[in-house]
Amino acid sequence: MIFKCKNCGGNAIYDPEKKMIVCPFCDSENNYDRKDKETTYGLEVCPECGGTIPVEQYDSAMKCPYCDNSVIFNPRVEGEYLPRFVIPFEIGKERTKGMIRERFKKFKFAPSDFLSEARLDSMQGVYVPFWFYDYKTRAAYEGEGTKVRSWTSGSYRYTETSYYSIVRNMDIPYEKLPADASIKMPDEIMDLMEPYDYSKLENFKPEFLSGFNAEYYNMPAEQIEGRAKQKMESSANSILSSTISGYTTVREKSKQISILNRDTNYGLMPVWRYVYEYNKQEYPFYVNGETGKIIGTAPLSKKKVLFYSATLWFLLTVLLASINGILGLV
Amino acid sequence: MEKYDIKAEERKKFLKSFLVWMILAGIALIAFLVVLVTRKPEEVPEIPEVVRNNDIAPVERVYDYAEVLSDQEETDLRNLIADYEERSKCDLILVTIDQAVGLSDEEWTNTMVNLADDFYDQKAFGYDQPHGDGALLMDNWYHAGQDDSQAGAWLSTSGKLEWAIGPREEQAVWDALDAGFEYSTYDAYARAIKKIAYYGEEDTNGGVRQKGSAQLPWWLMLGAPIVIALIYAAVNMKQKAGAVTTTAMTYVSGGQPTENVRRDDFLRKSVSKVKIETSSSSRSGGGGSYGHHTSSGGFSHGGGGHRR
Repeated sequence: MIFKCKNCGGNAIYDPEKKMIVCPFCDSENNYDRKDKETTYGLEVCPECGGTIPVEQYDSAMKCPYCDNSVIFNPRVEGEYLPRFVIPFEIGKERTKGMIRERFKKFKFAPSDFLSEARLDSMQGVYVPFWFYDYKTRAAYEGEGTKVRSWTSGSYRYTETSYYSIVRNMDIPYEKLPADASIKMPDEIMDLMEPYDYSKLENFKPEFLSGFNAEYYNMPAEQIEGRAKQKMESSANSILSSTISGYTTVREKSKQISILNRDTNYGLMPVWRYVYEYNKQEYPFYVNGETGKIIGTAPLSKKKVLFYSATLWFLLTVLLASINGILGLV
Repeated sequence: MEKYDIKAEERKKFLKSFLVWMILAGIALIAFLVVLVTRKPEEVPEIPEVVRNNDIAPVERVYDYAEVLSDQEETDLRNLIADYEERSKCDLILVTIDQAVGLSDEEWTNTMVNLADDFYDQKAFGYDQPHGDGALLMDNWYHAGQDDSQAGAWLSTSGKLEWAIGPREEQAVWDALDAGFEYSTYDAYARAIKKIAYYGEEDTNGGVRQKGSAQLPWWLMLGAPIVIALIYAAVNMKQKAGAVTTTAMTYVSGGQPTENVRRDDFLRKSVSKVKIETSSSSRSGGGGSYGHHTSSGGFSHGGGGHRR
């Protein structure tokens, strides 16, 4: 499907700053038609210009490299691939560029063109598929704690140890524990992108995808549930630990974290992805399209490291040599 | 949208990084050039040759009242002292005694300081003048190695050595003394005398500061900028991909778990007792620096003690 401006016929896309569909050609707002065009040649052929789209196995939306129209592949956003919800992009491309520049402006050793307009313009907005897990869990703990008190009387030092039985049992309901379902996106990076603000969740509408790339889930929920469980268990352990305090030592006797009820949902989360290539190596940067949290490290330019360090060395040497010269003369 | 000018931003970043250093280096360089251009022709000051100027003090330098040195060792020490006196331009006197001076640190210190200072004053030692530059090492052997030992050394300094030898230098003298005792009594005194003479030698021009003596050492001049530049590079190369900003409660529905059971039940109690060991009254390491003071004879001394 393609969204077309009713006014000029241009490709209407979702504007994160205005939070609506706009036409980048005539600036019409929310004035569009949905065109469910399809060719008989499959998804690889652009329904608008007939050009070949380099669509991959899990792509559900992308731009045609020839006519620049944003094409959404109907079969990949419907039926079993219909997302339950989506957080639309809240931060537009220009604002994201500014945030990346702000983040790295103090970093002295990045290559000169790292923050250039041309490089940053290659940044792409991607809706990343996530599985969200709801768990009703019960955490049960039994242990033995000691409290130690010491005092001195006469020529003796006394130590009193009191032993306590510690029992905890609590229900912890987890809602929407996320795990990305995209092979392309590194898991550890996607984990660092968290948290998303779920108050911005919307029911899925294909309009949100217009102007962005998107994928549908690359694997079933069961395949990656281990990651969600790990997050849940880590959280439950921390919560349990936070309720046990005031003891000198604690010895765990038993601990059980069990899932009483579970539910899964599929949704899309917004991510800006900027890939900088330097010395034949890729340096990817990811920006949470909702919160603006940036994940990534800038490449190091050896020339700049050398230049900056040599400059400092030179200035310090001049400073010390001058001081030394003055001391030698007076 | 404002255009992002890479070159302008790079210049700005560079200037921001080094502006302060550039200004400082520039000021220092200009100041140096101004001094260089405006200075008067060099007048080389004449450093007076320091010659011994004391006919009152005795020539004897080794007073072995405790009889811990052989005749040969005494002779060797006299020769050594004569050599180092010439180098340091200071009188160097060694006195050994075997005399009760008090068991407590306070008593010991007060007696030793008086004995050493008075010995120096009464014999009017001093290289440049009576009561002038010099040091007296007094070593007491009373009950050495026994429980009620009052053994230990005292260093009384005078004249330029009073100012050249502070607590740190004194410690170096005691370290030399202790290291020498590992071998022999003679070795201990020889090492201590050499160390004392070394501090006198450092200031042989009689306190007249030579031009250029305040200059930074060459290794600091060369090494400091390199080390600072390396630290600067290392600090600025450090990056973190991103921080974890979720907490244990981030995905807990309602932000709070429901506690079904929370019990902390007392089970039992045990008490143990341990006798407190009191340490024996060891006095090792007593003494310490005594600082500048005036002796009973009215002369200024420095120094400190070291018990063993």
